[in-house]
Amino acid sequence: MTFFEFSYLAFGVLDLYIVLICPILDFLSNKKKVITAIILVVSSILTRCFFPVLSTYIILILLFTLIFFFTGKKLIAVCLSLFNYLLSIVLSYFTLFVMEHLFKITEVEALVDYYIPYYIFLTILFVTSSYAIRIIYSSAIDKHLILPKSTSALLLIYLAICAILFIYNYSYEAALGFPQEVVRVNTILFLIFFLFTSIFIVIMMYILRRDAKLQAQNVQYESLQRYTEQVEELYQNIRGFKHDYINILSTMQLYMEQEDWVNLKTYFNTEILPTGATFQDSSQTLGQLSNLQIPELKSILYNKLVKAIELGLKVQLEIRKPITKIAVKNVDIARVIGIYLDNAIEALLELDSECPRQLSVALIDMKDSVVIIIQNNCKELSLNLHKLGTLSYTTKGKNRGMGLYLAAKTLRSYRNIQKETTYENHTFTQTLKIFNC
Amino acid sequence: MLSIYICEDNPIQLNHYRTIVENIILMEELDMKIQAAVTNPDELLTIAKQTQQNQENGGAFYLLDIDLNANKDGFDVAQAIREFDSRGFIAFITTHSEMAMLTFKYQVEAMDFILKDDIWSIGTHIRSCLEVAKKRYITYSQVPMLAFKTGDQTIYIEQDRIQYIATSSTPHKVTVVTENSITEFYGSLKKCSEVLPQNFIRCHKAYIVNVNHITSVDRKTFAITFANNHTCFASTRGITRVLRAIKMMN
Repeated sequence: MTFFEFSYLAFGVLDLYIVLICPILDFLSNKKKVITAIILVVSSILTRCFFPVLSTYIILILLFTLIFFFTGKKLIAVCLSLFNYLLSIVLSYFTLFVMEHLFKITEVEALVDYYIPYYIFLTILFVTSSYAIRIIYSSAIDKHLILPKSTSALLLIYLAICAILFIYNYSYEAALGFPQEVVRVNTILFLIFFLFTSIFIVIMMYILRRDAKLQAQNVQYESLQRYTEQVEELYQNIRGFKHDYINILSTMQLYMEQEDWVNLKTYFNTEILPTGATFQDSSQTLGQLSNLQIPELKSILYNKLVKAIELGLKVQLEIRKPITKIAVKNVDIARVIGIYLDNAIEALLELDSECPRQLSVALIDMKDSVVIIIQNNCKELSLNLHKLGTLSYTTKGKNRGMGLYLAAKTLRSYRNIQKETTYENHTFTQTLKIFNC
Repeated sequence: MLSIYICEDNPIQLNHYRTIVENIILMEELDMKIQAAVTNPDELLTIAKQTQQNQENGGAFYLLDIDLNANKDGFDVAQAIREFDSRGFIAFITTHSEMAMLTFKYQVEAMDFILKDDIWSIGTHIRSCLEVAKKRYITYSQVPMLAFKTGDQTIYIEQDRIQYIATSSTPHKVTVVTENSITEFYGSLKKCSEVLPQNFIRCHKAYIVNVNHITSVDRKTFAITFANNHTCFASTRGITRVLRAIKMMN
């Protein structure tokens, strides 16, 4: 193998790795990054030796399959690398186009005589584009919406067809020996095609995000409506009690006037004492939500607590003073509390119905902070408290344990939160103290 | 001796509680005395403040109604008490609908709640409260604590319960680990090691361990294990220091 051939191969492998793997580095563990790199190098050398014609196709198919399985069958990851692959083709053509116009270098010259500066320039371009795609994905898409499977599958098919057309065109051109005419046509063709694709994807993302937002609003609206109904029902309850109260007083008065102490005593024990139970009903406690003026948190608390009540759990909510502000993004705190409540409810359902099944939640407004406490009974815990919240450490069996990991990850980005986890006497307590900034 | 303070706005109920408490003290021969049983929260606060500021008068047990029909409710009274008496025992006597167990426990370290709704068990409930208070009062004063200031609150952790202290993944915070709790505080390991006694050893840049709690030390992996399988790590020099300390103890 000549030096030219070697560096050609080395640059090819390096660029392929940058283009395909760098946009999705966040999805892969360190081990998997190394494995893909090794497979890429080995397969490139082998295919160059044995199937030089089909080599590009084989490597691409192999890599995309790897990406698909290594990222846990995430179609979106494959879409990202495919998209970046298309982008890289367009970029390299564009570079050739510019070289031709500025320096009067033809493609053949660029690939043969100036291949080192050409490839170094391209590599820098690819690193930039991969990085840009990674950032755009994590900041603009990942945080805001979850792509439905069908959409990502369609996107993937579309991108795959594009890629096949691109590669076909390119190899056709290579077979002709890179005539300038074809290079120019291809550059324009690819540019236009790629622009359309980008616009199409941006529009699609915009529509999807708008839909997701609308849906979230709808859910919030529905829960607000259910909340209003519940409050009205509470009010009716109290009105009913007021009415009974007058009746009770007049009956007691009658007994007293007649000095019928025996009957008064039985009347008190059978009729009046039980009325106290009306106020011990779990649903009464939800009235305290009116003190919470953070819609996202209110809606998640309401939903989870109603669910707990419907499942027959005893629920106690304490919000004694109005809470208007928490120094955390509302979405983040709602997500964390949602995860904690889900876990608490799940733990309570594992208990026998004879055990006390109590879920208590408190939001406390202190001078300098807001404290959120979630407490539930649970089975004897044999798990290591310290490991809770590390990935896939769980008592729930395989492929679980994501919840607390996500919660811990969300909390880690805040400096003004103090977390406390305790387990004592079959009671599990999570406390978050959130300082006002 | 424990001084007992009772505050309840309804005179009939107040009298009832006073009689219950007096009877318990007499029957159980407890070293306690009712210092005040009043309907007015301000009156209670003045008396308590005067008496409790003098250390020789011993500890205090407060029995407070929550709905006091005054400018303060029982919770405000408890908060005011905490300003001059951080270790007194506070029990609330209240109806179910006013109860906010977690809140009161967190904010004023309420020890218990006695429900007015169960009229018949009030007596036994008060008795058990007084007994717990007595027991805790005897041991409480001698237990060494590690104090953390968090905002306007100071939280105490019993030194003997601490397994180890680690730096946290977020800066300027430490994580205190006991057998059944993990708590984050603002602070530094340096400050902790300054106040902690000899059985706490800085075994690593990121860890201070309590030698009394170590269940095993692995010299190969530099892992130190505690009850409940909690594990932390030591540096090469740290591990010899830990082993030496364990040897000295035996």
